[in-house]
Amino acid sequence: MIGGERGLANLPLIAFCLLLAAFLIAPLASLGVQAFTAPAGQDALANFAKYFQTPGLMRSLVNTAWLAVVVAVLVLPMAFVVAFTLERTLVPLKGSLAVIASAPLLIPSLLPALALVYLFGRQGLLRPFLGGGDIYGAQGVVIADVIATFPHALVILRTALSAADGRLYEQAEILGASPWRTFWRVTLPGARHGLVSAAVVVFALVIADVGAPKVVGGDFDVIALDIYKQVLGQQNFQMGSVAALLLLLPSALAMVVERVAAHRQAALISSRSTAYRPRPSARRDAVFGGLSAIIAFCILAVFAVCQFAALVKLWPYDLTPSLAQYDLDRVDGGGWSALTDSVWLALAAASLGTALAFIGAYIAERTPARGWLRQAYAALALLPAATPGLALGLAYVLCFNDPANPLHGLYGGFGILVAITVVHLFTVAHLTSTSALRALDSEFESAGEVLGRGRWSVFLPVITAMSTPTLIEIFVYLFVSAMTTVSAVVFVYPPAFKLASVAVLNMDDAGDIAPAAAMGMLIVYVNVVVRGLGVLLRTAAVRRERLAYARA
Amino acid sequence: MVSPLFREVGTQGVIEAAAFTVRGLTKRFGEAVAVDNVDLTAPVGQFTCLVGPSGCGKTTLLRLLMGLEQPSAGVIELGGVDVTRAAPAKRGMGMVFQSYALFPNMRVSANVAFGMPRALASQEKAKRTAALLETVGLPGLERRYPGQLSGGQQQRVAIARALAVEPRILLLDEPLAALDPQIREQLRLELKALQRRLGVTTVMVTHDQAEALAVADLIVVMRAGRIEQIGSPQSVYDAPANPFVASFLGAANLLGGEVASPGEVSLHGGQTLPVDAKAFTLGQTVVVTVRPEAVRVIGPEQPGLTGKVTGQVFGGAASRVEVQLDGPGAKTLMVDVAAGNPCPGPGEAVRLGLPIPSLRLFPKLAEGTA
Repeated sequence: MIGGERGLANLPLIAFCLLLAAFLIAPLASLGVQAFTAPAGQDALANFAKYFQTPGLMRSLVNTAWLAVVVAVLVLPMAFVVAFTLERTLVPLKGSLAVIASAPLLIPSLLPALALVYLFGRQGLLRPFLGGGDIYGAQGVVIADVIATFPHALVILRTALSAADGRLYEQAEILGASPWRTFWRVTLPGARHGLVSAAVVVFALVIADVGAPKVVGGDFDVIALDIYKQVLGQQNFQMGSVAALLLLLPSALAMVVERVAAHRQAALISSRSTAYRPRPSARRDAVFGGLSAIIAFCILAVFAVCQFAALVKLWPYDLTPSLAQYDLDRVDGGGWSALTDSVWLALAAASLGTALAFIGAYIAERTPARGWLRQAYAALALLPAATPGLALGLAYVLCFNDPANPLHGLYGGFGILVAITVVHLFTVAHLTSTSALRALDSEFESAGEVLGRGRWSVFLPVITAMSTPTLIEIFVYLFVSAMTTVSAVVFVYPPAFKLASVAVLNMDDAGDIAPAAAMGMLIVYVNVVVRGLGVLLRTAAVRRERLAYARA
Repeated sequence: MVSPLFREVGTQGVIEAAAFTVRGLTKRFGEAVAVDNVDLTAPVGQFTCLVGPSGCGKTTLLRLLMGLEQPSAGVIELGGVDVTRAAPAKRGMGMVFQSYALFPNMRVSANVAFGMPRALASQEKAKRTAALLETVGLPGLERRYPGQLSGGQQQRVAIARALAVEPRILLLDEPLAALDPQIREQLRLELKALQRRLGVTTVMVTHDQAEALAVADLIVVMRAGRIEQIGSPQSVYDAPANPFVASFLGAANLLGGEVASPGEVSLHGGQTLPVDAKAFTLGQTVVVTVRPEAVRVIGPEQPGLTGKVTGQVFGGAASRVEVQLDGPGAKTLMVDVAAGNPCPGPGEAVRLGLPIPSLRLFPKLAEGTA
C-alpha cells in the first residue's frame, strides 16, 4: 500500500521525463545514429574520418574555436564595465542604460550583422574609414556576435555584482585599502564565478550562431554554417550530423562548467551578508559612465542604422524617407504573413512553455517524488541549454521525419515548431521556475493537506498566485526568444508557414537587404511592445505583493 | 468533553476533544530510524509536550500523527479509532507549522477560512472567522495580510486557521521558535491559557526545555527516536529517569564515582560523598546527579566537599558559581547561590553541602548514554 502510494506520487514526474525523452532525447539519439551510420562496408567512424579529411570543414572547426574565444575575450570586459556601472556606481540614467544594454535580447541575431553591412559593406556609409578593407570575414562576425551576446553576459555579471557582501567592503576600508586595491582584491574575486559563467555562455552562444557568419562571414566558415550548408544545400545529413555532434560536445561541456560556476557564485552570499551601497566617487563614475555611454551608443547605432535603412528609398543612393521597404509582400521570404505566423508561434510556445516549465519544476521541487527521479528530470531540463539550435533542428528533422516515429504526424505542421521552440528555450524557463518555487515556504502544501483541501489545493491560489511576476518574466522571455530564434526552426518550418526571423535570413540571402532590415525591425517592434507590457504587468504584480507582504 | 470553542463559535456539530494513543510507532528513512517503537498516550484536554534535542525524532513523530508521513510500523488511535492510514484531513487534527505557513497573498480572513467546509455560506464563514479571531485575541484583523502582522499575531492567526477545521487534537510544531525571546515567554503563557480555555487536546513539539516545563501538563522527553521519560513537569524535573533527562531538563551536575559503602560514593578525585546507595552493589561505577540550586555553600566546620571557586556569573535571582573540586581529575561543580546570600568570589576555597534527598544515583552505562 505504501509502495503503491509512492509509485503514484512518482507518476507526474515520470510523465514529464517521458515528455522530454520524446522531444529531446529521441531526436538527439537519431542525430547520433545518423552520424555513426556509415555507407556499407565502412566502420562506424567513417563519417568522422571523412569530415576531418575535408580541408574546408577542418578549417571551420578551427575558425569556430577562434571566433568563440575572441568574442568572449572582447565581450567580457565590455559587459563587466556596464554591469559595474549599473550595480556599483551612482551615475545618472542607469535605468535607460539598463534598457539599452539589454535591447539586443529583443532583436534577431542577424540584425547587428545587417547594420554592419549597411555601415561598412560594399556600399556602406563608413566604408571609406576602413581604408580599403572590408567588413566581410572574421572581423565582421566578431563584431556582430559581440553585440548579440553582450546582453547575455551582462545579465550574468549584473547578478554577480549585485549580490556583494557589504561587510567585505567595510573591512577593506577599515584596513585602509585603496579603491584600486579593493577592486582587484574584493570586487573581482567576488565576481569570478560570474565571469566564468558569462564566458562559457558567450562561448556556447557564439559556436551555435549561424546568422552572423551567414550575413557578414564572407568566406569565413564556421561549424554552424557547415551544418546549415550540408543540410539545406547538399542534403548531406550524415556530414550535417557529424558537425552537429562536434558542436554539441563543447556546448554540453560549457553547460556543465556554467552550472558549477553559477552554483559557486550563489554560495558566496550568505544570509548574514549585508547589502553593498556605493559611495559617491566622481572619478569612478566619470570613467565607468563614459565607457558605458560609448557602448550604449554603439548598440543604439545598430538599431538606428537598421531603422534608417528600412525607412529610405534606396540605401545609400536615395535617402528620401519612404515606407516602401515595409511593403514586404513584394519580395520573397514570406511577407507580412511571416510576421503574424511568428507571433502565433511565439504566443503558443510562450504559453505552453511557461505552463510546462512551471508545472514540471513544481512537481520536481515540491511533490514527494523519488530523489533519483528528480535528478533525472533536473538533468533532462538542463540539456536543451547544452544543445545548439541547429543541432536540435537537424535532430528533429531526422527523428520526426521518420515514418516509424509514432509522433511522425507532427512533422510538417505547427505542432513541431511549437515543440522545438519550447524545448530549445526550456532550460532558462525551468531554472527561473525552480528558483522562484524554492523561495516559497516549504510547508504550504502540508498546510493545504492538513486543512482538508489536499496538496494541490494551494497550487493555484497560493503557489501560482505568488509566482505571477516570475510567470510573466518567463512568458516574455519565451515570447521574445521565439520571435528571434533562427537556428532552432530553420530546418523544420513547413513550406506553408513562413517565420519572420527566417525571412530575414532568406531576404538577405536573396540580396533584399532593405526589406530584411524592415522585417528585422518589425520583430523588434513586436518584442518591444510585448516586453513593455510584460514590465508593466510584472511591476503591478510585484507592487501588489509588496503591499501584501510589507509590515504595517 | 465538549470544547468551549465550538460553543463560542456556535457550530452545529458538537466536537469532542479526544485522547490519542500510539503503539509501537516506528519510522525509518532508509537506514536511519527517526522514530523507534514509540508508545504514548496524550490524555483528553491536556497539553502534552514532546521535547528533546534537535534530531531526536519529535517533529517526525508529530508529522506521523498528522498523517504527513506514513509510519513504517505501529498504530495511531484517535478517540479509540484507528487512523494510522487515514488521510491527514480525515483525522480531525489541526496543525500549526513552525513557519506558520500562512498564505502571504491571502488576507487573514481567507487564511482562517481556507480549511472550512466549502459548502458553507460565506456569511457563516465570516461569522466563524470573526469568532475564531476573537478566541485567539485578534478581533477585527480580517482584512490584514500576514506580512502586516507581528510574529506573535501571525502565530495566533495560524492557531485560528488550525482551529477552523474543528479539530479534536491540536498539534503545534515549535510554535514559539520563530519569535523574539522577549515576547516568547509572554506568548508561552497565552498559549497555555488559550489551551486551558478551549480544553482541546494539544501536542506541542519543542527543543526548548524551559518552554516545555512552563506549558506542559505532560512532558515526553525524547532522544534518538525513543522516549526517555514521560511525566508531569514537576516529576520529570525532580525525578529524572536517567542522567540525560537530568541534564536536558534544567541544569544538572553529573559526578562520576564508585560505590564505597551503602551510604557513600567515592568520587573521581578522591573525595567522599554521603548518598543513599543501598540499591547498588559495592564497587559499582555510578553517576550522581545534583541540581545547581540544591548545592549549598556551608561553613568550614560542617562535613562536605571542598573546592576552589574558578568562576562566577551574576544572574539576578541567583548567581552561578563554578567550583573546581579538590583532588586530581576531580570535576567542576555548578552551584546556584540565591540573591541575598554571601557569594564566594573567584579563588576562594569553599565547602559545599549536597543534601542526600537531592542526589540521584544512576549506574554508569556504556559510553554515550550518560
